[in-house]
Amino acid sequence: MDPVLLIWICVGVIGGVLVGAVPGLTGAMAISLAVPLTFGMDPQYALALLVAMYVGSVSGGLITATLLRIPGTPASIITTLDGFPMAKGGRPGRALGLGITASLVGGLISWGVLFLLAKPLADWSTKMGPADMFSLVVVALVLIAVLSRESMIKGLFAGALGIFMALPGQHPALGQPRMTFGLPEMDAGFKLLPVLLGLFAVSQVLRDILDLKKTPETISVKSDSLLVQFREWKSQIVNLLRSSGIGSIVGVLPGIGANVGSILAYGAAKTHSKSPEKFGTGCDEGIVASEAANNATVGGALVPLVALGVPGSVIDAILLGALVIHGLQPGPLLFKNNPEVVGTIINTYLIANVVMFAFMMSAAKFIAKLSRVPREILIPVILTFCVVGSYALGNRMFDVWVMIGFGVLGFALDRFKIPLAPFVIGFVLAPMAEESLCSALMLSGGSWAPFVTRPVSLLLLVIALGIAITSLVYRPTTQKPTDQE
Amino acid sequence: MFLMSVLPVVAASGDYPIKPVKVVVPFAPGGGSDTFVRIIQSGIKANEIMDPPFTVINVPGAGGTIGSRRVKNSYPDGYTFLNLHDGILSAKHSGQALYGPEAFKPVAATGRAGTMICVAGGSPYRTLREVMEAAKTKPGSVSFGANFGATSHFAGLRLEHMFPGAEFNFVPAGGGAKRFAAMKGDHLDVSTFTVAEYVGFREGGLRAVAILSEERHPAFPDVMTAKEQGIEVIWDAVQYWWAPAGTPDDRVAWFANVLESAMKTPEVQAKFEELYFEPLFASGSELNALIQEREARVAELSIRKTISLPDFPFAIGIVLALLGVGVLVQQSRDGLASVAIASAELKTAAIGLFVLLIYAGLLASRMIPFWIATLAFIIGLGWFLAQAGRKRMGMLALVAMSVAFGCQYVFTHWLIVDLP
Repeated sequence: MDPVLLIWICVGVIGGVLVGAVPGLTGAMAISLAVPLTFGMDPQYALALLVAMYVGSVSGGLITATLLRIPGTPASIITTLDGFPMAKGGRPGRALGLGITASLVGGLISWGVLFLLAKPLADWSTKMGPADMFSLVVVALVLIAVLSRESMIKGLFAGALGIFMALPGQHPALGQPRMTFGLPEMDAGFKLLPVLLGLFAVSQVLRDILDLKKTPETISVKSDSLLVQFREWKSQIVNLLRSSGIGSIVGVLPGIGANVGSILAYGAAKTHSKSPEKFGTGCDEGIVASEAANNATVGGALVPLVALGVPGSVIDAILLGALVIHGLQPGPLLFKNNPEVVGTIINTYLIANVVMFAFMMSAAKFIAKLSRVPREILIPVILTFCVVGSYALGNRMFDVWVMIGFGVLGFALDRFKIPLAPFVIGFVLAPMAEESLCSALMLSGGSWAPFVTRPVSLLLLVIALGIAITSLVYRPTTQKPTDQE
Repeated sequence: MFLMSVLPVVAASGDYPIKPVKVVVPFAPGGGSDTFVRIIQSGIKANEIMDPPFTVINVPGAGGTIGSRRVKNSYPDGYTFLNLHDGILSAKHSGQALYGPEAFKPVAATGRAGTMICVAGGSPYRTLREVMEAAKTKPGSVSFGANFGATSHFAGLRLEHMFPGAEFNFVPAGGGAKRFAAMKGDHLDVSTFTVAEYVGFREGGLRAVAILSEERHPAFPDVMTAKEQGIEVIWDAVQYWWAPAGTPDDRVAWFANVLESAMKTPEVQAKFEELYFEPLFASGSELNALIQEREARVAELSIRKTISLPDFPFAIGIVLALLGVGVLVQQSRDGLASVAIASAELKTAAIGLFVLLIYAGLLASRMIPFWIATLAFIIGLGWFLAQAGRKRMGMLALVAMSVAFGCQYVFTHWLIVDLP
């Protein structure tokens, strides 16, 4: 084990947990801000840092979710449902202990999925031609639209808008500039990093300004122990396995993030519970289901990223961008060409979960105080990093203006409850879709036949169609969280 | 001391150079061009060939045209140079950029990278000649992976040009690793690779059928040149250095001297060998002739029209408009209550945004140094946001100072960024 690597993992996890614990800072924001700082680093350390931050930020949110009823990150919205009532009922330590331990188990199980699934999937996927690749992207796009929580039409709109915003710049197949509105700076289109910083950092900051005056109610953890007896976990084993499994699968599916995983797992736990009426009043099962599942999505989501070069979540889209910035080609051959990088990602994920557990168990009481960091100091600092980070990417102010523009756009979309995740996934997948579509057509001399004659492509298209039809005919009544407020 | 006598500090004349010399690399860090320039940079630094710092600035995007335009439009004072390979010619002749070498003053050519034509390990083709014969007997049957409008595309066109009757089916295939993946999956027949890429993928089952150089590469004596196979194609990538048009001749000559001395350093020579770059140096009239000859070769070729491809922007535009109407309908049914924001809070957010725009505008104007603007921005915005509550001016000032100076240090010393 390389000690430098371990240090970066610890830095990443601790940074991620702290960010996750401060309401108003999200993992996507922090990780996109961290990417410019890794420009000068060895790619392996850079990715270890970013993956560790990913793990930390998904986990850190449970602290404020439990103690303040404010989900530190969207991933822990569901944790507020049972975590806060339990904490208020006098067992804050137990609530945190359950959440942290369930996070560890969820992480470890999904690491197993990542470890076992990624390589075979990558090996198999070199067989995928451009036509198959296009069909895979179609499945991903259908999934994100269908699974948006708020409303399907808004999800579809967000996805289409993301695709539209990815169009300006060079034609992905022919290299000619298009939709540049005569601005030479637009020849390269909108780059991923400024877009992400705008959507997830600037728009969040604008939202935070609106909430500046609200002061949350705090529960302090004084004497209650975080350690939950082993025998009490016995009754949770099935729940843990089921929730981690759901989380891993949701993670593998492209485009849907940790919050969907925890919602589905919470719903499943409630359905199978002997005492479903206790859900929402501070029961163990609810906390365990939500936290095991949201951590499990992280490992699951890394599978398509390392095996296919297709991001499974917003943060994976950032990691994909980081791979490219460091000169690595994401995709099936990453395993062959840069086995050390893939190995680092997979190992980091495992170690990061253990580090996260150790850090959160020992420091949860201290981290809880972080939510009182004065927002008026945090906001200008975040904005400065956004400006510098966007500028550093290509040494040009144009990216800064793009970042600010997308910040306003993200803020507006959020006001209309149009989800941002489909937007980002659409933005990332659009060039992939267009390039593979054009390559496939040029290989076949203009014929569309390969999309239905190639078995893999046909299968994927049938799946996409099936998902679309099912969701139109039968809208599953997922457990909607009761309002956050 | 011995080295110093062989490689003297290139004499500065009068008041030039007194500031850092910026070299724009129009590609991302870690790529071929970036590696190349950083090798030269380390040679210059290790032997103290020039006194002021030699700073590398990456301005990636649009196949190098974002960075080349930056240099084209910069002040011709001899402090800004561009490193750009033959891509400058292909970008002009494919219509990706409206200018070519004529928009710059050429400084020097230093080194070249060989191009190989490769097939997958299991391919039936043993030589380039067999590939070309197949493309001639059945035009369009051999798929050729290329970046459209880039040098790899022109390499294929050049092969067709010198082997009349042959016609490839050009397929966009992205960078080296992606092309190799497509070849392994049997989706592509042939493609171009640099020698360094070939070395990386050889173990994985990539086979070279020809090298497009004058002579065989010393490290790969088994790979025949195209010329030996009767196809007169030389298509290597030369690294050129350019100055903005109007840069004084003596400054261009001074920088060419610096580069020439750098090429002679043992550091550069060792690294070139390791990375399979071939040494070359040309400046002055020799350089002009080289560029002219190479441009003429590109100008002879023309990109064929491809099959008609689906109009993505149009289709997405329609879908987006329809969905937009759907969202509006739904929103009007739900009402706008959830969207509304209390006007006082909206005002705060709008002022916050306005302050951010002023900050970015100040940086863009480059009128005041980065750290002053940042300090003012953090303190100003923090003070404004804290108006309602308790003011922690001491803490704010401390944070502002550490962020402003911290960023200034990290970005100028660690990550070399051209901060405003």
